[in-house]
Amino acid sequence: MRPAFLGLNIARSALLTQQQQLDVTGHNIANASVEGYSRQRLDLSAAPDIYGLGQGYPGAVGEGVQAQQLERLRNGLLDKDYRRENADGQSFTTQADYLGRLESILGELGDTGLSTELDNFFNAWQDASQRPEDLALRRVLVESGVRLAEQIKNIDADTQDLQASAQLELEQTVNRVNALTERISSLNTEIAKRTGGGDTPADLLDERDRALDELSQYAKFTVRQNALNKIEVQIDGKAVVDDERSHPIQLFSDPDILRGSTTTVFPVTLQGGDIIINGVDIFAGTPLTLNSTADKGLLVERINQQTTSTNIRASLDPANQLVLQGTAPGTSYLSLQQGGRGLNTTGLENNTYTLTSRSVLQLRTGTFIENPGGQLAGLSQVRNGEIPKTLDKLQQITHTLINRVNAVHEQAYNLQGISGQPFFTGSHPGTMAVAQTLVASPEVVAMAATSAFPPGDGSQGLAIYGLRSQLGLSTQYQNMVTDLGVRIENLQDGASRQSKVVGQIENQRQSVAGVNLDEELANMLQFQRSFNAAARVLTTFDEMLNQIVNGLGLVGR
Amino acid sequence: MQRITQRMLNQNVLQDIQNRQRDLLLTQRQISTGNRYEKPSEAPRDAAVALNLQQAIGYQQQIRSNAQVAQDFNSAADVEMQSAGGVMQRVRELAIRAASEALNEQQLDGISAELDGLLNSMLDSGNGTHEGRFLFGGYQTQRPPFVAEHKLSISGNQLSELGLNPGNFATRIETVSQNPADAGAFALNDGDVIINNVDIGSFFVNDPTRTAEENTQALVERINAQTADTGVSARAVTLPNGSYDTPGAGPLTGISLVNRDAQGNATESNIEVKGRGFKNTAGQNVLRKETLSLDSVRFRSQPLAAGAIGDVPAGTLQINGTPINSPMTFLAGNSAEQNAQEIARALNTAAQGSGVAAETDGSGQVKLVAQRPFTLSGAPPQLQLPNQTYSPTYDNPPVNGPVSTGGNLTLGSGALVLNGIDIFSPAVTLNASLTATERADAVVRAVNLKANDSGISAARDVSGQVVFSNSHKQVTQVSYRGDAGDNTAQIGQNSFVPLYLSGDEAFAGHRREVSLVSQQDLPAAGLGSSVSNAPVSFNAGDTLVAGNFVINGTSIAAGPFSGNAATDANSLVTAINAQSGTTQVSAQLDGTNQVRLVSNTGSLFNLQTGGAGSRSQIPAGDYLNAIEAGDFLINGVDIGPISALPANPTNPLQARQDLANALANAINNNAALSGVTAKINTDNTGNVRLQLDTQGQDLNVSTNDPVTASLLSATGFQNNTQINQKVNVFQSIIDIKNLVLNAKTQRNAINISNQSIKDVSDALDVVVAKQVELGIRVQRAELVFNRSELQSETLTVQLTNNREVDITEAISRLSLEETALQAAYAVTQRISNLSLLNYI
Repeated sequence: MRPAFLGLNIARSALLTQQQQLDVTGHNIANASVEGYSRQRLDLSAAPDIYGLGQGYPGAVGEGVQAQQLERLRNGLLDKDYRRENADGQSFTTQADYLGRLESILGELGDTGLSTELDNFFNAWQDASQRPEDLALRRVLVESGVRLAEQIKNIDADTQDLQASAQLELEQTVNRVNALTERISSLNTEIAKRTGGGDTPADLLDERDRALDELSQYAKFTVRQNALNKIEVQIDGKAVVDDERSHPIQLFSDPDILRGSTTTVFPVTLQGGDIIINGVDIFAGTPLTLNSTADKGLLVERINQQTTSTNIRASLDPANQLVLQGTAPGTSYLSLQQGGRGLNTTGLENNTYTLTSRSVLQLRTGTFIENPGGQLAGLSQVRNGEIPKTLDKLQQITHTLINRVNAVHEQAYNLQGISGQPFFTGSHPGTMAVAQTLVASPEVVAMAATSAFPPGDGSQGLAIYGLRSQLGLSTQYQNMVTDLGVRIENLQDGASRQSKVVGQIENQRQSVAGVNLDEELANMLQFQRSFNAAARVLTTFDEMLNQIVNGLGLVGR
Repeated sequence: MQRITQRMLNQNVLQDIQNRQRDLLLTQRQISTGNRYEKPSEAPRDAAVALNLQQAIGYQQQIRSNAQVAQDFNSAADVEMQSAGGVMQRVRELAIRAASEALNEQQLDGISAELDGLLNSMLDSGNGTHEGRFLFGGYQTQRPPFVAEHKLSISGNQLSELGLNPGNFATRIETVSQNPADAGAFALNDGDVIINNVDIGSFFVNDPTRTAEENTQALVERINAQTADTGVSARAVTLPNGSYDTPGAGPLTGISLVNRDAQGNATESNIEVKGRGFKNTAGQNVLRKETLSLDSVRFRSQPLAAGAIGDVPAGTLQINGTPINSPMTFLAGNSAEQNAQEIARALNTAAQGSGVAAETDGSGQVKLVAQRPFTLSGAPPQLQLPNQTYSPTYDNPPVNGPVSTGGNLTLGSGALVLNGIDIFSPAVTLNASLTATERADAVVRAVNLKANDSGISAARDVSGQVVFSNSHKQVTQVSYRGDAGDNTAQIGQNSFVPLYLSGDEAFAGHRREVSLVSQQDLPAAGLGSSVSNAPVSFNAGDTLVAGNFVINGTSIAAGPFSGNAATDANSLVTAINAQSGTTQVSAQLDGTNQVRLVSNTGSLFNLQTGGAGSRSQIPAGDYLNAIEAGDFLINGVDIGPISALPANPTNPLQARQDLANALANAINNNAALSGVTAKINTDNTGNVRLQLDTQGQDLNVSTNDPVTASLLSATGFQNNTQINQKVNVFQSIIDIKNLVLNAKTQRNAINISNQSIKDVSDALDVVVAKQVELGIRVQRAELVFNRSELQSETLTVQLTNNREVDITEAISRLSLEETALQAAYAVTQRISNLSLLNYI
């Protein structure tokens, strides 16, 4: 037996669901331009009849329509692809950006590059050697030396600045990553609650996906779907979001160290000149006797007493090897000269070292993220790789230049008959300068081969010019610059390739999740019509009932 | 089928517009900068090429600037050498004219004056500069490389009779500071002490513990650091009681200045000290301000006493025997300086014509200055002027005694040559009756007669010696103070052009052929120690008695012999050696029972034999020892060994010839290596002399072996004879000038020798050859310059192609991109309006 009000019920359900449908359409239209919004659909199904099996009647129909669930149209696989490719692209872009800035700092191809200055410097030697008694030419020479030293100093300082800004951006990126992971974990909590309640928290999911999309700029990660729509996020296999918890990452800077190759030897007495660190004679005036390993702390202590001047801190590792490390973050230079017993004692070699602190990402104590991908990887590659390499090369060039030019210059005699004076002072790009006495009086430039110092003898000046082709410093530098150029070109190619790939995936994602306004409008019309039709059905049923209620039994009245 | 959303449309359109805009920006930048790329990363491979090209262009630029420098310097040198060539040409004309024409004295004087002028022009050329640097001084570019020296040069063949030493004598002038330097802090300011116009410079030591000696030494070192420029050396001397000649005893707080270079050799510098003065705490100048010239004779008295020191009547003081003073009156109230002024006044008023001027130094000392040596006599002790001859001081005094007396002394041409001028031409005979003083006066007259030509005048001192004074007017020699160093300009990868020509090459570089003839006849001797030509063959019972076997006049006694060769040879050797202390000859056995005699000293020795002595089988005669390998070197080439030569007592002339032949053969056998050939000069009087000829080589004859040395000296060659066959351009002019001056009085006796004219011609060759060399250098530099310019052009074109943008292409690209961008805009505009909204 068909219930009397079935028709009304059917019409009502239709009216309600069409309204619901219009709500969803309105929501879609409203969010059409919201970044990361996934379009939603209301899944409808026909409501079954209210009778149980076997209790129905022939021709029984269902109860009308009902909303099954709110569907979020999104393809998880495309998300995964998008994030992976985006991370790679960001890594390339970041590196290309930084190296592009580095390239501008190195600035060849113009008239002002370092190789031009180097060539000018050596040419000035040759010009001066031809007229060694000409003070004007000597002044030009000294001036070109000053310019060269300044150029090197500027390039070095700018490169170090660039390194510092890479470091800063790295720190900020780490903070942003931590903010995102925290947001994701709290969204996990929210989503789980709503999902548990049978809901589809579509907008929360969108928000989480947006957070993940942003995270993919900074790092390359994998996502694992857990129960109740919660996710776990792993960078380099290490979980940064674990359902409702997040694990912040830290930037950890570890200064590079210089470790002796052999065990420190005892007993020994160290004199002045035995160990000179960055020009500071550690044992000047006060020799130190080390009788046994029990005294090993004394050596370290003595070196550390000079830390303010040397910028170097010493320690002994458990194997009794001397370890030296820079105090300053960023780059510190270590110029180590040793004589006497110093070499035997420490197992370190006479040399000039560039100590660059290394930055690593640390998740928890002892858990390091070696390969984070994305901007993090790009930044740390630049910070720890390319920039220190450039600084090293610059240091190498400076060191060679200072030592080789000085070696000849110190053997030569100046116009006052004095030899043994250096042309350059300092040991690395930051301290390199033309000796003050030379700047004050260019006759101190030494070019004569003999102590008779005839004023017309420029042979040693020519010998220094000879270093130009012998050392090939400007060619080395140019090669470095062109190598860098090739590297940047490759990175830029990679970045643009990635951006195309990312764009394509984004299109595909949009194709699935994007809101097409025309489509929504068409739907709106459809839903409106459906509503109208349902209303008409309701009216019809109403009229039918009216007929029954008011029109029946009036026969004979 | 892909769903399209509005968002996708918008984003894609935006992306496309962005891409178009980026293209446009690049093209626009390319057009405005003209460069295809700005950073290496935009075109790394092209950039690498561009950097190489840039460097190569820079390198070529440097090469060109070097070539320009080389061209400039060598052209400047070329100009100087051209003028030097002109000078030598004229010198040669004059030399040939003087040699071939009969000229009178005036004409010869004219020629010598012109030669003087030419010598000065040549000096100007040698000291030519470019950009303030001397062209021919090697690395010594800041001081003139050629310095005319005015030494007193004495030579001649009768010097010992005249009591003179031969040699070149440089005048020595010295001044000793009067006041000691102070102890304590030391401050010398710029302009305090200027020596020969060179400021000694400022110098400070702020150390109160310094001693006066240390300060003195510091000042000495400061002065010596400038010796190269001032020509004056300093040394610390003891003060007080200083005078020019006798620094007193005491600490080393005074300073002596002397015209010496850093090596202690005389310089031709006067000493002029000026400046604000360097004062000690007492306010006294430590170094006197004064000017000492080389050609004057100076004497400073000891400080005078103050007050009445005893008047001196007129004519008491005599110079060269002539009374010279007006009366001197010393008042009781006089200071020492006033007394000194009184002496100077008295000397200067009456002594005109004596050539001696007097002055005071402001502190009570009298200073006498004259242009010639003078003898002061008659001065009473209170005047502090010792009676003696005052003459310039020389390194080694040229005078060693008075002119010899006794017998007629004829001084002829060549007896005394001063600065190349033959003084006794015509000859002067000094009669036996003349005293030493009179003879000295005669010599002085002869010298002074030619003082104009020689630049040397003479005086006689109280003891009868001749004393010379050099007016420093005649150039006796031009010395080279430059060095051999030479800067180069790189005008190619491995090609360098020297920037100068060192002066001793340019003005004294060419070598010529020279013959050296032994001065004495070769000895008539066998060469090689005397060797028995067969084993000794004494008969049994033979004895050597007086006259049988005589070495250098000493008879050897030996025997009786046994007749056994071995035993007898042994006995003979023993007997000879027993006398070797007297004979200086020892004997050796050579294993085949032959006996060899060897001189202990290496000198010639003589053997006479007779009776049983002849059975020793050693021929009598004069002997020289053998010349072994390594004994005799010519230009470092071993001439020995020269095999033994038998003595020939019967024909000494033949012995000489034989020895000469042996030596000449040995020398000629090595001529290819040594560059020296030998020939024998024999004349009809039996003179046999050896002549060595160099073919433009230097010649050095040397030995370490006393035996060979004695042979060489016997021939008149000296061991270590060294002749550097360089033509000195300056010397050739000086030589010619002296010959011309000498020709005035030696019209019949001397001519301008062919050798001198050849010297001049050789000198001209030197100059011309160097001129050619310079021309080649200039040409080379020019070629390099032009080639480098071409290369630069090519490189620049390559760089342009690499770096620069094709503007036409870029502009058409720009308009294309412009259209594309406009199209994109149009598309955007169209699709942005499309919406279903408009239709429902």
